Amino acid sequence: MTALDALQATLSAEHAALHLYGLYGGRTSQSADPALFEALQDGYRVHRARRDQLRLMVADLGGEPVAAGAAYDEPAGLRGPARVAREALGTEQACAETYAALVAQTSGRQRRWGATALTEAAVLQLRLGGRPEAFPGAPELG
Amino acid sequence: MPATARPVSRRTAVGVTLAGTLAGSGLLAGCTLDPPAPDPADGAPVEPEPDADVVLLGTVLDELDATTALVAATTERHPGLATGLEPLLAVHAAHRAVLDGAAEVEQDAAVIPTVPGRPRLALDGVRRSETRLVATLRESTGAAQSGDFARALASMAASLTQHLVVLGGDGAAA
Repeated sequence: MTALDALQATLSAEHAALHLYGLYGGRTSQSADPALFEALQDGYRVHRARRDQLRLMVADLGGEPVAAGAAYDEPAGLRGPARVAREALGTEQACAETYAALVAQTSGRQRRWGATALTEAAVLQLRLGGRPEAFPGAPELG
Repeated sequence: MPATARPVSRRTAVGVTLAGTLAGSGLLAGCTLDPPAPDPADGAPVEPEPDADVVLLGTVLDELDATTALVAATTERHPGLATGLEPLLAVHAAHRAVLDGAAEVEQDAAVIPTVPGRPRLALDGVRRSETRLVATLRESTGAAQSGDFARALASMAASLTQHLVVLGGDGAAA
């Protein structure tokens, strides 16, 4: 896999994450669950910024940034803050694995970007009810 | 790989020991060492120039071991901090296990760190040491030749940053 392929794969993951975060935010009450709502709002903003950065990084390498999918599988029975937080945690863990893969497949500025995104995803997981892991993004090492 | 040889140092000796084992685990796949070159000039022990990732590994292990020793000493001196610090000891052990593989790593005699008598200051010292370790892991991630090695180091840095957040430290900055 080339660095361009890895960036495109990460961009695809960001499109999916953005879609899901929009869904999670729409199912969360700002007044009843302010901490979760804020975490989801922050997550949405961060993934939107990463999507925009990745588009530029792909274009810098001469690629055509992949577009968002026409539709995504949505989690069934998404009701209640606990369920929303669990799904969002799963999304963030999946993103962490994507960033870790990007670290492995790139170097220089792109690798540093992936490492920073991995750390930020690991920290966001804590706000979504996650606990510290030995190997965020690389669970098979544990 | 340079053909010149140089005297053995502790760090590179550890690295050479690990190279073969970690290459087997795939983490440092592609790292090879040239056979030792004879040095008729002085007859001193020589070793090949180590792979860049092997040198990085030695640096990470040194920092990891120093931090682990400090956390252990802090836990021993301040048992009231044990609940918060034991997860750090566990994660350090998990990280070292991945870096070690099945290797028998020769270590220098451990330096017993000085732990302040006041728990709050002792905890601050642990936070600083962990933050330094995160910085070393991040720098090594960027410098690693092997992508898999870089991925493992980046994951370790992310893990320790999570632990620092839980510990209430200020080392969460990526």
